[in-house]
Amino acid sequence: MRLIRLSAIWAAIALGVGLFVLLGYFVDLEFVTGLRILFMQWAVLLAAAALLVGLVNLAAVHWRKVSLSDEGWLYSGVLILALLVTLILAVFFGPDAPISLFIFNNLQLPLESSLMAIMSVTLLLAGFRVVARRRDLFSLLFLLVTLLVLLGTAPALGGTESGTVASLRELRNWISQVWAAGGARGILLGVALGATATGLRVLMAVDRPYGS
Amino acid sequence: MSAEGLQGLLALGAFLALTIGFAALNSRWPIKLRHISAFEALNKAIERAVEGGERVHLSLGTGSVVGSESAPALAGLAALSRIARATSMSDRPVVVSTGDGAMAILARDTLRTTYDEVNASELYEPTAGRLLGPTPFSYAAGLPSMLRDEQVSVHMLNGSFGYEAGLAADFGERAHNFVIAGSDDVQSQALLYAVAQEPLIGEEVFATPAYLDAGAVHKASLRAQDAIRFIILALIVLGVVIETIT
Amino acid sequence: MAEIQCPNCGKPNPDTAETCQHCGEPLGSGSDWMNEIQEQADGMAPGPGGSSPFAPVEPSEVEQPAEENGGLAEGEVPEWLQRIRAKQAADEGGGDDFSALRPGFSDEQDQEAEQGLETVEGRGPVGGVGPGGKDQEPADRAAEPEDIRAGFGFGSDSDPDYAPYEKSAEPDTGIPSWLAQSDEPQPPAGAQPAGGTESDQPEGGLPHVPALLGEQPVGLSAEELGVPDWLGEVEQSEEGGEETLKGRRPAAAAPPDLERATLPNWLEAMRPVDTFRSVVQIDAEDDQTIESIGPLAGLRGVLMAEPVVAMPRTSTVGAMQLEVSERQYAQAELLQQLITEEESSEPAAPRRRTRLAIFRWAIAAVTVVAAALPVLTGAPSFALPGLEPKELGALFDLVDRLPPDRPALFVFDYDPGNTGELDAVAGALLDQVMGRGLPVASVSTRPTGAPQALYTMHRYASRHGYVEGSDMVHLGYLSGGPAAVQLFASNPRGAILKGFALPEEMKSAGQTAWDSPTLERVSSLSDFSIVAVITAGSETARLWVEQAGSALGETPLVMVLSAAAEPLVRPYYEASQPQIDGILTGLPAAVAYEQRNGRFGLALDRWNGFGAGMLAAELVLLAGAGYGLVRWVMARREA
Repeated sequence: MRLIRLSAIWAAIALGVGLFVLLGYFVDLEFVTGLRILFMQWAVLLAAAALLVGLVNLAAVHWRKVSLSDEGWLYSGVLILALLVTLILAVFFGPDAPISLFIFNNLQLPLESSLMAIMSVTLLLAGFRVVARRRDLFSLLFLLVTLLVLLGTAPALGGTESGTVASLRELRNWISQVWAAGGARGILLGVALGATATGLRVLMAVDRPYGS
Repeated sequence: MSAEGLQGLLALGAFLALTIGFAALNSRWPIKLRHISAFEALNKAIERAVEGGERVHLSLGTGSVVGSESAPALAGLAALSRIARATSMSDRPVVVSTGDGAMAILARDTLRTTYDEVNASELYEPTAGRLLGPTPFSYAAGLPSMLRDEQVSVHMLNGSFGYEAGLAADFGERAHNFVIAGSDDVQSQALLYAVAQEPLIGEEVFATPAYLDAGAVHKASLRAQDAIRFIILALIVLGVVIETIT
Repeated sequence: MAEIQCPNCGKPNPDTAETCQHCGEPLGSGSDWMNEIQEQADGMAPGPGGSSPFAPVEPSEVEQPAEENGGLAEGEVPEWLQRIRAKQAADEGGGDDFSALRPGFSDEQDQEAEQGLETVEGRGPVGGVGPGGKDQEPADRAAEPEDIRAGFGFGSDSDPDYAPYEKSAEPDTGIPSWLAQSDEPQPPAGAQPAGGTESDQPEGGLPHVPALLGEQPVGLSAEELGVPDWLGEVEQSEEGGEETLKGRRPAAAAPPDLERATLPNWLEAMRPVDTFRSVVQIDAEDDQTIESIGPLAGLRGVLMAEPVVAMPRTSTVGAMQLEVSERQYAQAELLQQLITEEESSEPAAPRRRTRLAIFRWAIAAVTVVAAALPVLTGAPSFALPGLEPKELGALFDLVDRLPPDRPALFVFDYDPGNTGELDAVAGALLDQVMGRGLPVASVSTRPTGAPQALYTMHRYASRHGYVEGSDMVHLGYLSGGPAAVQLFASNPRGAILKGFALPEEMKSAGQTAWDSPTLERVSSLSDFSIVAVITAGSETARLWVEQAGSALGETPLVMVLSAAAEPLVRPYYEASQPQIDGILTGLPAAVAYEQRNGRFGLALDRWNGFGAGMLAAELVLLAGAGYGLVRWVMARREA
């Protein structure tokens, strides 16, 4: 009985806050709008605090790996060391200090750029597999559209651009702005409906991500 | 209240009424979902993972809990409850990863609640719901080691992803996992179509709880979505006709 | 007074008794036939050897007095008796042990008794050695001791030839005493009693029947016969005390050598014949193998189960014709196949070699080489775009018309991974804005956006001599997602309180970014000259359009996008009531913009590498299509 009451209290809080925030977008009452902004600010603060909690959890996972000397514990140790060094430097010197910016410019930025490069190779390989292994109409269509878009986007090899290249550009624009955009719009409509349904389920307390 | 506000409230009210109505009529008018091979394969893959003593990994994406990016992750949390029940009898229960700290906390709460409901509280571990990285690509970079260490065989992406979705799915494919991936972002869906074994296109990512039998209300909300969709289609066609005529 | 022998304990009882006085066994109809036989035997002549009918008798001494028959006429003599007598007469000379067993029996009866005795002896002494050391023939063991005794014509106590079976000193073991006392009867003529003498035969008692259970074979020890230890131990029990399998007789006395008994006709008729007559020949005792396993280990003559049980024999009944359907045949074949496959060992599958990700490495190598070649060697070279996008001119003109005293706001909302493309695209616009001398401010809704802005703007700031804090300022990280954007749009100073990477003098003076000359006259979003959102995602673009659009007023909103985000953002620009005032998408547009601006930057630096990479991607896809086509053709040929 006590557990049920607690669960009902959490659901009531979630429902009340959700309704106020939702109404704040549709109703022009100052009280409701103010309350919405207040709740959103609390949410932002909680999200920032949750980020810290998540970082502690991340460190705990890797620390456990190091302490148990599991496979790859060395990498976990490097991660924890990097986390601590960056955190200490940023806390003591500030996130805009030269040392912090040095870490960003020379470590994080090249690393993430490299990951993006890996992804480009991965996508190219995936495209290769699609056209090589799947022999159906959609694979053929995929190949044709991809080639057209690439040819219409890429620069011409040597010399000035010809009329063919211009035609390809127009074809590429037509494909991306009519077919791709139309299909994407339809998908976005469905995504919006799905997001609305998910939000309403949370408001109705059918889905309780906050647990009991 | 402005006209736009009123329209919005009416639309929400209609959506809510349709959902509740379809849920109430479910016994008389059962909701039959269309066949999606990805979810059928997912059910089988989960069963195999449970029998084989391997782990299911669910990724809730890199989106923040504040904003529209949280919607697919919330759907993923509803699916997590079902998956946690299914894997509670396994030697290796489900593990959840996110790119947002608040979403990781919600994931842990969901796991704890589910294990309490099935009287398996001892299965809960705080590290079962974890933050892999605060930025999208750092999250993707942490996936390979996690997939290997946790002996994952089912790699499920159900949340808000950006370009890192392609990497995340590819890491699962390289590890010979069963990969089912869905996102709310259209560009990510295009990447996942090429990379993932079982991509979820469109709003299928929001239908995951319904296909995992999370409840009648989930199926009813799918039917409500279809009803609203047809209304919007009709309005679009009407608008095109009117615009063309005038 | 005539006496009745108890069929159970073998002790004499008065004929008027209805139950045995010793064991309580009813002396009813079961004893009637015994009484009859006894009466018949009473008419028998005593043996010449004395009172004992078991005394060896010479055939010549056998008389056929009328009173021997008990006063019965010739025709009234029972058949079995006649047979015994006949056999006795035929076996003169002691060739047959049995014939001397009882005088007065006919040959037929003797034969029957002999057969009966054979039957008895078939399960008699261990080792199958019968009286006289002869090998015994197997005999059906249908006869019980009582029946055999009846067949021998054991008479009642009134029979002068019949001597009551004397009770031995042995305790009551529940076994008929005549059976238990193997030393009492005299061995028949021609037989070599095993240690027994004539005096051992009961005086006037019933003819001796060989013990059914384990009489000590003549002249052989238990070890020679292979008697199990437990049986030998039982044999060696105390004299006259414990009941043993062979303890129906004193240990010292040797069992007499007895002739086989023949079964009477009526008994023979009771025995089933010709149904399961064993076809197995029982070997001689010496040839018989000793059982080595099981509970019968050590015994000879143990029937082998297999030859009897498993011996195929045709059924006398007509065999049933099974009706098997085709489906059942198929199922049976399937079952057979399953069993065969289960038994057959499949060759071990060749170990799968770890395949090198050839395609992955090859594609990566092609892509890297293609992107690096123009940088390293300057070739290949791609022509600059001759055509520019139609929206490019409008944007250029828009920026050209911006008021110089109002700052431009650049929103850096992309991840460091997109630096390669968006730095070049945003750089083209930044270069023009800075070229016109407009103050520039930056903000980001991502944690990494602030240092990203610093990194990108510094490159172009140095080109135009911009000074941090006076010509450009960074507002930093705007946390909170859509709500934060809305808050910033309505109240920028309330959303950002401090700033990012401020000059030291401003920090030491305790000033914020809003105190800098760049932003001192900015209090709302509409105070900026232009808001340029740099992003790789369509969602971020839509967020700024929806949240900040209403607060911009006349301030133009421009989108600097990755090529992937263009299809979803362009409708905002091309709508009848556009919500975006300018759009710059992708590296080709950036190169064209730099061309139009007359100042080349990052976009041109990456143009050849971009072109080579695109060309390599096209070639890889075509190669994939060709590879798939070749595989398909080869598969068709093999098929």
